[in-house]
Amino acid sequence: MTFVRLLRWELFKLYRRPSSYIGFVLCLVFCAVTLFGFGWTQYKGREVQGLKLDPSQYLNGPFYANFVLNIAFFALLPLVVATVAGSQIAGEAKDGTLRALLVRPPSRVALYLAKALASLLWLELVILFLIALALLVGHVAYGGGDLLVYIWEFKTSGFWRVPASDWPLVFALCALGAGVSLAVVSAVAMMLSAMTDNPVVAHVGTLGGFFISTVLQRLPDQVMGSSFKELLPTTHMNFWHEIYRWADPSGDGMNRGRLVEDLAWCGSLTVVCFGIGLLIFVRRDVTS
Amino acid sequence: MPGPVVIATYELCKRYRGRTVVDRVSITVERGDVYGFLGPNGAGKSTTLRMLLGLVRPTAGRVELFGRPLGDRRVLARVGAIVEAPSLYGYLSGRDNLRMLSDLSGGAPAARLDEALDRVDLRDRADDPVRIYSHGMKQRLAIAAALLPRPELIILDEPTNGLDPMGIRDMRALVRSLAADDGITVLLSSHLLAEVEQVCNRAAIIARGARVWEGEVAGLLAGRRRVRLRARPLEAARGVARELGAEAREVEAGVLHVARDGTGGEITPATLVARLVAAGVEVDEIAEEAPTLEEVFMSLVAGAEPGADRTEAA
Repeated sequence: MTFVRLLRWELFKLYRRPSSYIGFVLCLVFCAVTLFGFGWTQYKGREVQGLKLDPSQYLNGPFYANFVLNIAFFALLPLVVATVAGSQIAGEAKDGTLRALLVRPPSRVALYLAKALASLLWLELVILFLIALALLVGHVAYGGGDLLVYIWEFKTSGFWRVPASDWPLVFALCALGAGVSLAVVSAVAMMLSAMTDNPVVAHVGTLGGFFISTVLQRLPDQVMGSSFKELLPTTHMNFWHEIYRWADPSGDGMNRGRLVEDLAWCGSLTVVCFGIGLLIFVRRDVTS
Repeated sequence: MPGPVVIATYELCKRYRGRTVVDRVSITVERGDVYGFLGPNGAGKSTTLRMLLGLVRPTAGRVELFGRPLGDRRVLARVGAIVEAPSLYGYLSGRDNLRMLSDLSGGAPAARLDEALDRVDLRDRADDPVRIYSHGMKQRLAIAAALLPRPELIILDEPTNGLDPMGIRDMRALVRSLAADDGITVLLSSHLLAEVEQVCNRAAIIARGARVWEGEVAGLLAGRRRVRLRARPLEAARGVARELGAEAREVEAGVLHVARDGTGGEITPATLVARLVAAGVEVDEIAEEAPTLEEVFMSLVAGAEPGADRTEAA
C-alpha cells in the first residue's frame, strides 16, 4: 500500500514537473527535423547502399517511424532516460526535498523502488509518444505500405521487407524491446543519482558512459576487437534488432541464443545497477 | 515530575573522514517540553537533528524516539520535522505539497488541509505554485505540512532563520501555542539565544560537537544571578566581594559585576550592602540582575572541550 502510494506521488511529480516534458518536446523537434532533413537531402532520389530501389516503394510511414525509433534509440531516448532517472534522487537532494520524504514513515527501499519504477514508466510513455508521433507524421507525409528494414549491424544482409500486415506487430515488439533495453540506462542513471547530490553528475555520467560505449562498439573490429565489444553494454542493448530478422520473409534469421544472452546481459546489468544504487541510497547520509 | 521520555540519545557520535562532528551527545526530551538545542553555527546541531530523524547514520551511539529505536520507521508517523530550509516542491502548489507530504505520513482529510492552511494563514495562496512564495510563506507551509499528521513531537531546525521580525514573532508564538494548546513536544534548534530563552523550558547547549550543558532554562539563569555595583573606592569593594567568596569584575568605569565564584554562597544586594557599609565603602548604585543567556552561553562554550559537560542537576 505504501509502495503504491509512493509510486502514485512519484508519477504525479513527474507529471507536474516542467522538466519532465523535455523528452516530449525533443521528440517533436526530432520528428520535425528528420522530416525536414529527408526533404532537404532529396532522400527520395538517392540510392541506398548501392541498392537500386524506387524510393517511393520504401519511404513510407512505417519506414519513417522505424528510422526515427532506431536513431532516437541511441541519440534521443538515452538523453531522456538519463535526465529523468538521474534527477530522481540527486535532483531532490539538491532541492532539499529528499529530506521531506525521508523524515516520513515510508522506507528508503520503498522510495527508491517507487522512483525507479516511475522513471521506467515515464520512459515507456515517451517511447509510446515518439512512436505514435512518428507513425502519424510518417503516414501523413509518405503514406502507408510495407516496412523496409535496414539495420546497421546486419548490413551484410542488405534490405528486407516486412509486409504491411506484419509490421505493426514487429514494430510494437521492437519498441517494447527498445524500452526494456533502455532500462539499463535508467538503472545506471538511478545508481549515479543515488551517489551524488548533483543531478548534472548523474546526467553527464550516464550519457558519457552510453556514448563512449556506443562509439567503441561501432568501431571496426580491426580497431576494437569483437571480444572486447562483448564487454560493452551497448553491444547487448541492441538485442531487439533480432526481432527484425525474425520478421524477414526470406527466412527466420533470428539468432535466439544471441537474443537470450543479450537479454540476460541487459537484465543482469539493470538489476546490478539498480541494486548498487539501492544499497548506496539506503546507507547514505543525507546532508544536503 | 518528569514526563515520559520522547527523545533520548545515548552517546551519539558522528565522524566524517576522521573529523568528529558530534561527540557523545546524550539528551533527553520529555513529553510537553519545549526543548532548545542551542549552539553556534557549525556546532553539530543540524547533524544531531538529522541523526534523530534517520537522515544521517550515527557513527556510534543510539537514538530512541518514544522509547523505540530509530530503525522502526513507523515512529516517524508521530513526528513532524523541518530540517534546515523548508523542503517543498516549487513546481507544485502549496495545497499539492501538503496533500503529498501528509499522505506519506498517513493521510489527512481535505478539511484538515484547509484547517492547516488557515492556521498558517495561507489558505488564499494555497493554489499558487510554491516557487513564487516568499521564504516566510514557505516556512509556514512547511510548518503546516509538519503539523498535518497531528504529530506528538515536532522538530524544528532554526525555524526563524531568514524570517522578518514579524515572521519571527509569529513563529515563536506558534511554537509556544503548539506546546501550550496542542500538547505537542517541541525540539527547537537555534543559534539565537534569546529565542531559546523566550520559548523553551529546557535546553541543551552544544559546542564543537559536544554537549556542554543540559537542564532547565530558568535554572540556568537563576543559578548565575549577579549584583551590579557602583561604589567607591572600587578596590575596597572588590576586597569585600572576595571576602564573601565572590568574584568582582569591572565591566565599565566604576562598575563591578559581583557573582559567586562557585566556592561562596549566593550574593544578594542586601548581604553585600551590609558588608560594604561596614567596610566603609560608599555605595552609589546596587541592583541584582540576571545574565543574558548569551553571556552564560559564551562562558560555557569558551572553555568547552569535547566531553566537558557542565550539566547542572535540573
